[in-house]
Amino acid sequence: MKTKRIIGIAALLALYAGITSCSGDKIDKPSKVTLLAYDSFVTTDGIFDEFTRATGYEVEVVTGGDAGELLAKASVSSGNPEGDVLWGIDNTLLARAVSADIYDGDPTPVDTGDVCLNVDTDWFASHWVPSPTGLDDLVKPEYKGLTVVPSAVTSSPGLAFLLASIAKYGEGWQDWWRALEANDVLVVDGWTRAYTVEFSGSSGQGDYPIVVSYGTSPPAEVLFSDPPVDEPGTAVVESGCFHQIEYAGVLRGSGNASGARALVEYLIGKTFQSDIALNMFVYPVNADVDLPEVFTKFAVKPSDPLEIAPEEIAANQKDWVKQWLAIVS
Amino acid sequence: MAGNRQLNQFRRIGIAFALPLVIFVGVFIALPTLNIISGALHWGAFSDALGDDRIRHVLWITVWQASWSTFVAAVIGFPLAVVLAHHSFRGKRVVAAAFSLPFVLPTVVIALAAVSLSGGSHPLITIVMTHAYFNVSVVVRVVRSHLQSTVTTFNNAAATLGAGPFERLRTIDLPIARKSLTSAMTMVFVFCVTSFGVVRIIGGISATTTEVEIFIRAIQLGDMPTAVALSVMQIVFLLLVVAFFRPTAPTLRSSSVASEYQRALDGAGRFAMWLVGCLFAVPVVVILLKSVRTGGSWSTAGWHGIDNGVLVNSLKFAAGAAVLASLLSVAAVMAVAHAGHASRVVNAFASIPVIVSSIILSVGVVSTFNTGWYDFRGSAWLLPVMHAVVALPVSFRILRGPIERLTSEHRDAAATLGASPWTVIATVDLRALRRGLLPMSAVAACISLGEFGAASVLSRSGSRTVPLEISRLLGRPGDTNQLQAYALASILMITVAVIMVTLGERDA
Repeated sequence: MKTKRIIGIAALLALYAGITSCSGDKIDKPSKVTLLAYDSFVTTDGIFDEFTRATGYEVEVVTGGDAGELLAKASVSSGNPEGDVLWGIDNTLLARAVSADIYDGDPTPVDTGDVCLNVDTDWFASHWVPSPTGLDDLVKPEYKGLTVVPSAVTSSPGLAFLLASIAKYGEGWQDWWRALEANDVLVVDGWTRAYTVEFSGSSGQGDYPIVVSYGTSPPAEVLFSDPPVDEPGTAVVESGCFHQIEYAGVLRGSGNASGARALVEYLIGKTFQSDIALNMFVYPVNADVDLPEVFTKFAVKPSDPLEIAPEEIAANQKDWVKQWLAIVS
Repeated sequence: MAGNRQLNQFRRIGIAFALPLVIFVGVFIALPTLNIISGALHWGAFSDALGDDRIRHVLWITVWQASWSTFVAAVIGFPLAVVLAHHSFRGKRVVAAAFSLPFVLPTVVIALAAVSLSGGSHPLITIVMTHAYFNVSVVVRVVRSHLQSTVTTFNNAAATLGAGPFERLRTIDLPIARKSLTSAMTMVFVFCVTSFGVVRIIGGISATTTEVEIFIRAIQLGDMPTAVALSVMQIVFLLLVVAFFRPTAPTLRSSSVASEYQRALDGAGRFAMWLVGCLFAVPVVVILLKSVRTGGSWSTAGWHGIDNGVLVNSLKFAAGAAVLASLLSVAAVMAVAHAGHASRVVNAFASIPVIVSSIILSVGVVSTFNTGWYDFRGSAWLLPVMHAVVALPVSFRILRGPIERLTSEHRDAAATLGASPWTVIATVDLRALRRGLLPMSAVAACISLGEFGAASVLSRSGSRTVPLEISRLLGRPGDTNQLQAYALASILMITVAVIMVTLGERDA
């Protein structure tokens, strides 16, 4: 009894000892540039070394929340930002960011991606049903009860998918959603539940072989597989994708505007742009960058994706989402 | 006269003890919250919100699910607490640890498991059951620590006189534990109202609560005025709930009872406890399984690629949060014991951290600590401090049990023998707290390990915690990402289990 207690206390002390290394907070040096980014911002270690050598500025990456949360925080601290450069506001959020006046100058596009339907190729092969080729197919009887989508209210790809339908069907988008609802679409809160639980492909064990995901999901299926596979078990439907563009911009009120501008330049330079495809599964905007093989083989970059202007999105999102909710719930 | 002076002296000391709590909660919770509220509030947003059918429905769902969740958690938790308090049996600590596990499991993991188990049907019932699963541990913990030494002797006497277990439950435990049960249920109700991940994932588009609607308005739609109006309604409502169910001063006195007074549990009882313990462990087994199995094949890839830095971050934060939460809780319970009427204020303050929506709080932090020497944004210490403050409502309640068992007679006796108030506090009060301190800091550490709300939105540099990493990995395609997420969740569970078994509440 006593020894257990001593072990317990020792363990706690060891735990507490850890705290000492957690103090010693960094003091702002003028030679630092702070990059604010969403939680899924991942880079190769040392990717900013070249920038530091060239400019003398250290880069501190500060993350916290998703793009929407970043925008909420940036909006309340507009003019007195938490960092110098903000990475990750996309075209669905851009107009809100601009009207909140968070940027110093125009933000720069840094990467692109497409929210697309993905299908479980094995399911379609074994059920003798052709894979859907676009949004029109989803409301047909042979695809009844096969589709799962994330909610346009709580999920960013969910919103993008709603926007895709609005871009494609215009005034008729509500009719299409009514037909989709009648065709037993499953609407869930977000991508994680849709793709990893309800989808029948990938790690999901669900009942739905059609899911809203990204044009770059199949390469991830190949890279993150164990045992390794040569081909993904999923494929992208090329038609009906919504095009997303992510921006990086200097924040208004940045204490280091010249460092911040240099960093934005670096973010669209070849070194950094070559790093993002396999870390964040987005397409670089820099045309000089060669795409990795898994991208050229399995990812889909639709030639003519659906788009809606950021200002139009910001002006109508609330109404669209409300009308959409009335149909699906 | 002399007695009065001493009472005043105690009261002054009590008020002094209240200061750290009031300062921490005031600075890190109340200030940012009030700041964001005053900055974004429109009075029109209230009438707009209340005039909106959808929002009225959301408010109704919130209260409905929280009431049922609390009821179910209490019905399951109370008998468990009674058995753990009065009986000893083989493997008791392991079973008790099984009850504690859910509270610190990442909500996203449990919510996804609940969705898989329920097949996605009956979202409201699934939400209630998941909330109950998470919160049984709160009921067990708070009620058990209150009953432990208070009632065992009565219970034994009644048993000797032939009273059956249900009779004893009804006539002895329930009346005596009413206060701690009320206190625990109040806490659980608050947790269920402010619950985010579980409702968002299980509820989907069919069941939305205020907390989720705040997220939708503030983050997805950029409608801060409505988000803030909803948040104000929620804060006022929960403050009223906490104030209404304010635990009263203890009415029963008894001395501490050592474990030899606990009776051995009979075979059937032991079987029942083990069975319930195993039921609680089902999601744990599911998570362990998912860390090695995906898409129909086995793999250890998830356990290889784990980022140690994330584990180290989480442990550091947990340690820091546990130390700070201990100091604040000790001060808070001393204040409650001595500050007289001011103890109500202390009580309310100790509940504030879990009443405020974490989204509103995080956005408030950004807009408050934003300039000069108090530009704390992104500071590495902000997260453990927030964790400690968030752990306070629970850790404070755990520690309140032992101090409330002390009666003025203990202190009077010491004072009559010539002890000064400080000596009384050092020899009587702190001594009474000593035993509860380790379990309490263990719980605080575990809350920090599992915390996702504030951690997910607050900015931080290079200090991703385990729950954040789990949610990031679950948000990516690919088998090994999923495996790794569940491996991390498994490590989290194992860590918590080890902490609870070695440092958790034990018999005297």
